[in-house]
Amino acid sequence: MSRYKEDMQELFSKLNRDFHEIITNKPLLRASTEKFLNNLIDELTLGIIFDIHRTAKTKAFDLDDEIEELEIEKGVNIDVFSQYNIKKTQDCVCPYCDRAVAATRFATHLEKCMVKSRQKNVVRKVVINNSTKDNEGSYSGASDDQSDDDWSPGDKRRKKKKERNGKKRSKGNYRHYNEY
Amino acid sequence: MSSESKISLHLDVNNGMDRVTELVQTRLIECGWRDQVRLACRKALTENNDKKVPTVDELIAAVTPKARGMVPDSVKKELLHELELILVNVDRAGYAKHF
Repeated sequence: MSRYKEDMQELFSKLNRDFHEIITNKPLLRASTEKFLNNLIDELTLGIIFDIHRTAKTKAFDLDDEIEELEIEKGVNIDVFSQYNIKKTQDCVCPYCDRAVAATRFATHLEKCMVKSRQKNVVRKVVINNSTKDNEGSYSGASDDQSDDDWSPGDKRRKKKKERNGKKRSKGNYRHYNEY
Repeated sequence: MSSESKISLHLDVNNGMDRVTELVQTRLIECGWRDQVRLACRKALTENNDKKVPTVDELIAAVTPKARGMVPDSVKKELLHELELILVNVDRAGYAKHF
């Protein structure tokens, strides 16, 4: 027992001397710690490599997901919350003119577009009415009252209204051009 | 016996190995080195177009040289300094005091 103790003490004193030598020798200490650190770093990299290789072998992750992650790192087309650029979905198609309009401008566009389409419809109706009236007039003179309606006082009001609308429309158009 | 294995032996004897590895590991994770190495690994995996997963040896050959270079110089210097400090402290406190 005592011999064992003696052996241990001898061993430790040897180690102690050795260690002290390294510590006192500054360049040696520096070089050896650097090597030691490099070894540690290599060990850690090996750990990471084994880990990732295992996940790849066992197909714990889809490679496509990883590609997506890489894209996130690069910042391609994806925002912080890994959603694709929202701007793409912000276009609304106008039901009247079938144009793609930005969502923020859609309301104003729709208003103008509806007014325009209504005008067109009114013009069409007027044209159709006139043609039918002409036809009726050629067949019988019974449409005199209807043609007289054009000169009735009620129609003046209608014309005034129309003028007002026209002014408004021209204003709107002016604004519209200013925007662009 | 090489000098670095001597260092690790002395650290082992003085129960300092765990502390040192933990210190290095946390510092490397903090500076984002681990994520960088992971990314490099995944790139190496995806670069192989012939859908076979590369062997561990191939991965090691591809990634290890890069990984060493990825450690920021400032972090490396800091870690070296701290390691030296720990070693000097062990020497000062007395060798194998806890044994």
